[in-house]
Amino acid sequence: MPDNIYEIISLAARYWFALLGVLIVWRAFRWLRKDRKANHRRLKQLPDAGMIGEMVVLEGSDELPEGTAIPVPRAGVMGFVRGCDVVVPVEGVSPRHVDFTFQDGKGLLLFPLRGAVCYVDDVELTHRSNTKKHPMCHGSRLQIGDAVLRLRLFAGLDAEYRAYIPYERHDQPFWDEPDVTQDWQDTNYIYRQEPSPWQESQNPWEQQEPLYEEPYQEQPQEESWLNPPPYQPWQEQPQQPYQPRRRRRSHEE
Amino acid sequence: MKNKQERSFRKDPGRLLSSTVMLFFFSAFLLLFLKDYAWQAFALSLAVPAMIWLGVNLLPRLFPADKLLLSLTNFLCALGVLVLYATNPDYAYQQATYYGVGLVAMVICIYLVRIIRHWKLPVLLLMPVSLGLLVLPLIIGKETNGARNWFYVGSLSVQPSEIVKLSLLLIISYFMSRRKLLPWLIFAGGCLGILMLQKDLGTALMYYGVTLMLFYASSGNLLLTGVGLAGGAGAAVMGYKMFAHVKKRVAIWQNPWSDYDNAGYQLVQSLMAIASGGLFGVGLGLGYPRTIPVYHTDFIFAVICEQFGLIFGLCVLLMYVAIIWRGATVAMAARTSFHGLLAMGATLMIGLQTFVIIGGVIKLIPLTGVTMPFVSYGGTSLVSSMCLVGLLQGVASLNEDDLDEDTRLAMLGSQEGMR
Amino acid sequence: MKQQRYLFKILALIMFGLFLLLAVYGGYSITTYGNRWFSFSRNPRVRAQKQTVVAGDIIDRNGITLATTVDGKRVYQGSEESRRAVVHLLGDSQGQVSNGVETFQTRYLYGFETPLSERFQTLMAGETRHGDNVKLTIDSQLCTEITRYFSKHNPGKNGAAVVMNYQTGELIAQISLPNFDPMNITQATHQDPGQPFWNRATQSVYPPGSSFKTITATSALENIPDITTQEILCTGGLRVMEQAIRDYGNDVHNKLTLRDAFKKSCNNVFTLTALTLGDEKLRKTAESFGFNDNFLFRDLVVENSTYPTENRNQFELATTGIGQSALAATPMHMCMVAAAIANDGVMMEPRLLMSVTTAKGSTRPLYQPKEYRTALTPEHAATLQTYMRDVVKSGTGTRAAVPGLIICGKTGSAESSLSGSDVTYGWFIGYIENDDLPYAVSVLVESIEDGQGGGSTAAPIAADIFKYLQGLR
Repeated sequence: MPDNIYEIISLAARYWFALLGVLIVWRAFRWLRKDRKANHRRLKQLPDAGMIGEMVVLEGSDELPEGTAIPVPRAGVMGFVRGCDVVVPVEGVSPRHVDFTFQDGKGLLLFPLRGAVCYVDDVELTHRSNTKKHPMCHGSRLQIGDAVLRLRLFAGLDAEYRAYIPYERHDQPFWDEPDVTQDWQDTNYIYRQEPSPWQESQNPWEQQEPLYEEPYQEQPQEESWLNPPPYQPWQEQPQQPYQPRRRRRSHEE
Repeated sequence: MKNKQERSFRKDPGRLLSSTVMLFFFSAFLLLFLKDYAWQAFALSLAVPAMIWLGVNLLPRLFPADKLLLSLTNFLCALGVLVLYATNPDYAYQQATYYGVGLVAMVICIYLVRIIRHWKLPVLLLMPVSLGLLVLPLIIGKETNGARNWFYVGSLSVQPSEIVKLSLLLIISYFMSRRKLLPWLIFAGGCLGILMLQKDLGTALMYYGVTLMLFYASSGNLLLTGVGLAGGAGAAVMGYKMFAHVKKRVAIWQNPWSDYDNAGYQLVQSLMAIASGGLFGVGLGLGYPRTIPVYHTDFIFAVICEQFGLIFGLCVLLMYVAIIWRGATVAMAARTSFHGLLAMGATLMIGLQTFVIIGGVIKLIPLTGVTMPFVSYGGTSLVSSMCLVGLLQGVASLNEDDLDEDTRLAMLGSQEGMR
Repeated sequence: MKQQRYLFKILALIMFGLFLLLAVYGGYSITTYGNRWFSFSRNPRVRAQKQTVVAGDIIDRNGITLATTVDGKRVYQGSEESRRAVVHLLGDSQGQVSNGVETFQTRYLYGFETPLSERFQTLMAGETRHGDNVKLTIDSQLCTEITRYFSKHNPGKNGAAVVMNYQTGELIAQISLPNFDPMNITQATHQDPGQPFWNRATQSVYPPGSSFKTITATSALENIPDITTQEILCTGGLRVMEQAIRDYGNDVHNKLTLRDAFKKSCNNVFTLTALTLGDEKLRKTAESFGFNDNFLFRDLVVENSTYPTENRNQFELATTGIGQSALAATPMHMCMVAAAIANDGVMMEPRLLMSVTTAKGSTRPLYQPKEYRTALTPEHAATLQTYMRDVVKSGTGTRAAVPGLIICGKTGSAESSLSGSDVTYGWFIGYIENDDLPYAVSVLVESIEDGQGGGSTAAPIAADIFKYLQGLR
C-alpha cells in the first residue's frame, strides 16, 4: 500500500486503539470491583472462614472475662497487642508471645518467640524446645502469662487425639462435679462482636442491603401436652454411603 | 430464562475483557498487514488472538488459574510482540516463541506452589544453586552496556538475575515466615554484593526494595526498616561517590540535553519520541522508533508512547496497577504467612521493576537497565515474569481451595448442629 | 497474619502511590516540556518531515511575509537589513539559532498538527502537503528601525532590545546584535568572535545593574513602613566588609528621600536599603518578579533569571541592592519587569503567535492572553510609576524623553568582570504611560566606554523607539 494512504489509515486507527486501551482498562477495573464484591458476599456467608477453632478463656482478666471465645485462624501470632491474631490482654503476656500454625492431622503447633514461655497441658514450651512434639489438640489447655485458655477445634478438622481433661473446677465442691466433657463444651460463650478478619472493614457510608432475608414464618408453638406434634410414622433413614474424604493439602512445614 | 442466561453470558466480565483484547490485536496486526502486505502480519493477526483465547479461556478450564491476571498478562505479552513486530519483525517471532514457553512455565509454577508442601529442602537447595548461577556471568559472561549480567548457553543468552529473583522470593518468604533472620539476610546480602560486582544497579535496587518491603510486612518493625532504608540511601551515596559510572548516570538524569550527542543520547531520543507521540501517538507503523538506542528492551515504553500516545501509555500503567491490586488481594487472602509473603513478593517485584524502568524512561529517576516485565524483548525476562505470575496464581488457587474447604466445613457444621 | 495482611495493604498503597507519581510526573513533564523536547533540532522525525512537507510561511503582524518556501528552498524575504533584524526571532533553516520560530514552532510549520480531514483532502487531490502559516505579533519594520538606531547612537556595539505590549504580553520587536544574514551563512559567520548565532535578548543573562533598583525600591515600599517620608543620608560611599561601594562619579547627595535617590540613581541609598531589608525580603520580592523561576512560556524559550542564593554575606547583599553581585537577567525579563510596573503590578506572559492558519485556510484557535504572575500591588506600582516618571523628566534618563508622550523609565549601568577584563553594560528599561500605546521597552548595550552609562547609550535608542511607536498612532 502506498505510504501516504497507509499513513492516513494509521492516523485514523490510533483513536481506535486509544479507545480500545481505555475500554480494556475500564473493564479490568470493573471486573476487579465485581470480584471484590462477590468475595465480600461469600465471606459474609462464611463467618468462620479461615478459622480452625476457638480459644475459650478459663482464667482471664477484666478485659478478657471468663467464658470468652476467641476465634483462632490457621496461622498467626498470639500476644498482648491489637495487631495479633489472637489477642490475650492479660498480665504476663508479651506483646507478641507465640506463633502458631495448624497442621492437619496433628493439631495446633506453637512456636514461642524468643524469651516467651507457655504451657500446653502443663508442659513448658520455650523457643528452644521441640514444640512439634506437643501440639495442642481438641480440648488442650494453654497457659500464657496469667491466662488459661482451652482450644476447641471446629468440626471436620483432623487432629491426632483429644486431650485428656482432668477435673479442674476448683470453685465447686467435688460432689457437684459436672460431666467433664460438658465443662467446656456447654459454656455460654460470649462471642466477640468483631467481624471476621477475613472480611475487609465495611464502609459505613455504603448502604448495606441484607443479602438474604428470611421469609416470615409462623413460629411453631412449643410442644406440650396441649399442643402435641403431628403424627409421623417411623421411617428407616437411608444410610449415607461412605464417602472417602478427598485428601486435603496439609500446610507446609 | 434463556434470554436472561444469554445476557449474563454477555455480561461475564472475563469474556468482555478477553474479547476486547483479542479485537485490539486483530485490528492492530491487520493494520500492519496493510502496510506492506507481509503474510506474517496476517498470520499473527489470527495467531495472537488465538493464543490469547487459549491462554485466557481454555487454560483456566484445564488448570487452576486466575482469569483476570491471565488476561492482563496476556495483553501485555502480546503488546510486546506487536510493538516488536512494528519495529523489528525478527525480534517479534522470537518473542512470540518465548511467550508460548512462558505460558508453559507459568502453569508449571502454579503446580509447584500447589504440590510442594514442605519447602525446607527445596529452599535449602535453591540457596547455593542460585548464588552459583548469579556468579556465572562474572566468570564466563561478556560485558555489554557497562553491565556484566548475562552469558551464553549455546546460542541462547541467559540473564541469571532474572531467574534468581524467583528463588530470592521463595527463600526470603520461607525464612521470614519462620522468623529466621540470618539465612535470608545472608542470601540477600550475597545477591546484592554479586549484583554490585556485575554493575547491574537496576536489578540490585529492585532486589533491595522487595526484600526491605517484605521484611517490613513480615515483621512490622518500622525502626529496623527505617535503618535498612537509611543504609540503602547511604550505600547509594557511597556508590555515587565511588563509582564513575553511577556519577555519569546521575549527571545524565539531571540534564540529558547538555550532552545530547554522546552520554545523554539515549534519554534525549526517548524523551523526543514520547513528546512526538503526543496524546494519541504518531500512528502504528509510522514514526521513527528505531532511532531510540535500545528500543526493544529498556526503551520499549517510549516506543509504545510514540506509536500509541500518552493516553495508551497511561492505560498500560493502569494495567500494571490492576495486576498489583489483584496480587495484593491474593496475598491478603492467603492462609499462611509463607504464601502471603510469596504472593506479595511477586506482586512487588513486578510493580517495582515496572516503576524503575518507566521512571527511568520518562526521566523521573536515573535510568537503570531493567527490562519492562512482559513487554520487553528477552526470553529470560519474559519467562521469569510469567513465572512470577505463576507463583501468584498458585497462591490464588490455594486460596480458592481453602475457601471451598471452609464452605464444606460450614456445611458440615450446620448439619451437625441440626442433628 | 493479621498485621501482615494490614501491612500488605499499606505496601500495595505505596506501590499505587509510586505509579501515581509516574503518571503525574509523565503527564506534567510532557504538557510543559513536550513542545521543547519535540522541537529539538536533533529530532529525526522533524528532519524526515522536512523531506515530504512544504514548510508554511511566517508572517508579521502587518501581513509582511518574512519567510516562505520556494521550490523546496527556504527563502527569507525582504532586504538584507530587514532579514538580519529578525533573524534571531525567526531562526534559520539550518537550526543554528536555537529556539527561533523555525525550530520552536515546527509542530505548526511542518504540518504535524494538520487535521486528518484536511490531510485526506490533500491526498485525494494529489497535492503535496503544506505546513501551517504562522502569523507573529512582531512588527518587522520596527525591528529593522531598531538596528538602525543602534548604529546611529552606538555604532559597532553589540546589544539587544525588546519591545512588548504590557497589557497583552504581545512581543512587538526583539533584536540582537551582532546578527547575520540567514540567506548567506558563510564560514566567517561561524567563526565570528561576536557569536552572531546567539540570541542576546532571550538567551544571554546580564547583571541588571541600576535597573534592578526598581525591584529594590518595590521591596522597600513593601517592607519598610515609612520609607516614602524618610530622609536618608548619602555620604557618597559605603564601606561594607572592608570594600568600598561608591556612587557613580563619586557624587555626594547628602540627605535625600527614596524618590530623589531613585531619580538620581544613588547607589549609597540603595545599598543601605538593601542592608536594612535583609537578604530574605529582597529575594522574596525578586522572586515575585520572576527571578529564580523556571520560565515555561508557551511561545518563547527564555533563559531563567537568577537571584543568587549561595555565598550571601553583607557585601554581596549590599551590591545586590544595586543590581550587581551574581544577579543575572535577560533583556526580555527586564522588559517584563518594566511591563509589570506599567500594568499596575500584573506581569503578562509574553506571546509571539498571533494566529496559525492551515494551508486550506482554516484558523486554529490559540490561547488567550494570560497573566504570568502578580509582581506587586497596584498601590506600590503607582508609586513606582511616579518615581520612574521623575527619572525621565529630570533624572538620569532625560535623554529618553519624547515630546508629547509621558515616558517612564530607569537607566542602569552594570559592571561585570567575567573574562578577566571589566565590561560595562548600559541598560534602559521603560514604558509609555498611555493606554493607546501600551508599550514597554528594554534596551541593552554591551561594553560601553568609561564615563558613559545607560542614560547616554541606551536611553537615546529607547527615545527613538518611542518616537516610532508614537508614529503608529
